[in-house]
Amino acid sequence: MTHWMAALLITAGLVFFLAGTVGLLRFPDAFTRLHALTKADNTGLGLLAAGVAVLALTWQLVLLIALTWLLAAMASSIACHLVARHGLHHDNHEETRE
Amino acid sequence: MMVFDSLLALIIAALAWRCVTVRDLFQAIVTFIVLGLMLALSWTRLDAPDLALAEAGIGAGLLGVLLLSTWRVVRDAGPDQGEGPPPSPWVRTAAAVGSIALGTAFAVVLHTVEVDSDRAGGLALESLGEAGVEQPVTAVLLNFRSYDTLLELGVLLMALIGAVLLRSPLIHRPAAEDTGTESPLLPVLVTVFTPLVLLMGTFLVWAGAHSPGGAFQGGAVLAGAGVMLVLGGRLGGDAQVSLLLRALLILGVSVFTVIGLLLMPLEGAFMAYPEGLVYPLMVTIEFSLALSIGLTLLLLFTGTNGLRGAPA
Amino acid sequence: MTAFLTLAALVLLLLFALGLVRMALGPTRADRIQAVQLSGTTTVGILLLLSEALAMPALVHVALVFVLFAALIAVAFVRHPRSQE
Repeated sequence: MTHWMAALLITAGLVFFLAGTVGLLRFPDAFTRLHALTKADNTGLGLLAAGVAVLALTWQLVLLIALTWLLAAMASSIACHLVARHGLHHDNHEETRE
Repeated sequence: MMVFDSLLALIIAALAWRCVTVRDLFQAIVTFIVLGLMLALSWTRLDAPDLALAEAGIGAGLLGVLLLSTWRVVRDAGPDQGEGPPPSPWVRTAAAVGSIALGTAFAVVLHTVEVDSDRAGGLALESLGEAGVEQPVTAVLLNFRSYDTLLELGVLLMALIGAVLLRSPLIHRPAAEDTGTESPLLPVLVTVFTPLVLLMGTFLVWAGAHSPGGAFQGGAVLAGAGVMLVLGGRLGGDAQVSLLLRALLILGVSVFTVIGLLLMPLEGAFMAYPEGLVYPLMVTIEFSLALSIGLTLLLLFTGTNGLRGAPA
Repeated sequence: MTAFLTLAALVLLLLFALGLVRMALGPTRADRIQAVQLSGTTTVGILLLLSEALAMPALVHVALVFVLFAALIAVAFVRHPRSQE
């Protein structure tokens, strides 16, 4: 039972990772790509972490996995904001200087 | 697993190749960071989680941040910073041939070395009971091979002295460009993450006794917390050195040496620890090492010989 | 279950390789840094899967270190190291 649940969660997570990667490749500009990125970061990693946590043997490990996801979700959303804002202000002229 | 490893090896080779050949400096840095991620993965596949932690902290993490920051400083300083004419094809060919010859020579020599069926490793694992800690890597670093670790710390201090002497005046320019354009979320990130990074670093030092971790990995993560504060503008480099900072810088080496010398009359050898006291001594040494390592790495990042809190 | 976890890790590694294409293409630096962030998250995912598949709980610590340093790298991308003279 737990195995099936874990497999289901991990597969669902992989789907989000796939969607995020395809989005990163296919979306037209940096700002829409951010949208794809946060899907993989938050939901994909969340589902995957939940799947692994179901299989974990000790509650300490479960907490650690949960912490990893929580921090990843927070870091990625803030990082995306930083990068987007930076791109908005600087990127128009930056790359042409090469 | 076979497919996984092959793909991993392929990605590492491709990334390394691109890292060296790509023309744009920024791309090379970004590739280097991603290469660090993959190297950490390969260490886990080689059953060396200690090295994976070190790679994550130092290779991909600290070094990546250092390179990115250097890139920003160099770019802002203008296009002609250190841009000499490209070396002639002859020089490049000579360098390539020389590297290939050296690499081949090393490969040949290493191939002929008789490996004595892993004797040192076996010995270390057998006498693990006397080491005071369960984790073999920590036991080797701090007990069986402590001379080596002491010298490594000396090397790290020397590197810092060299870096401070060579420090580029570029790093001391105030950054005008950032003001007004950056995200209001940045202070939040710094405020929330810095204590967590500190906690993680301390935990890794502590965990070194029984699971992968230890002074070097923990120290690197502690340095990461400092770097976060520097980038967040709450801590800055300073030309003045306080006495406390100096004391902390040499804390690791001093504690290591003093404990080794003090116990010499009792145990009859430098850096031999008495039976019952091994664990507390190891933890003391480990924490002082981690503090010194963390501070040294942080000062290597700022390129200064001192630190001070930034005015609000 | 181990086989499934390994397979999942392999899929993530393939996605990682795909994401590298965006890193190489750019065109802007923001794009490349985003690709780095995604590859960091993917690596964290792989580490979590491997920690269970290889029964190495310490890999979760490695994943946590990666998460913390990924945030640091994003900050380093947008901020100067400052110092006062």
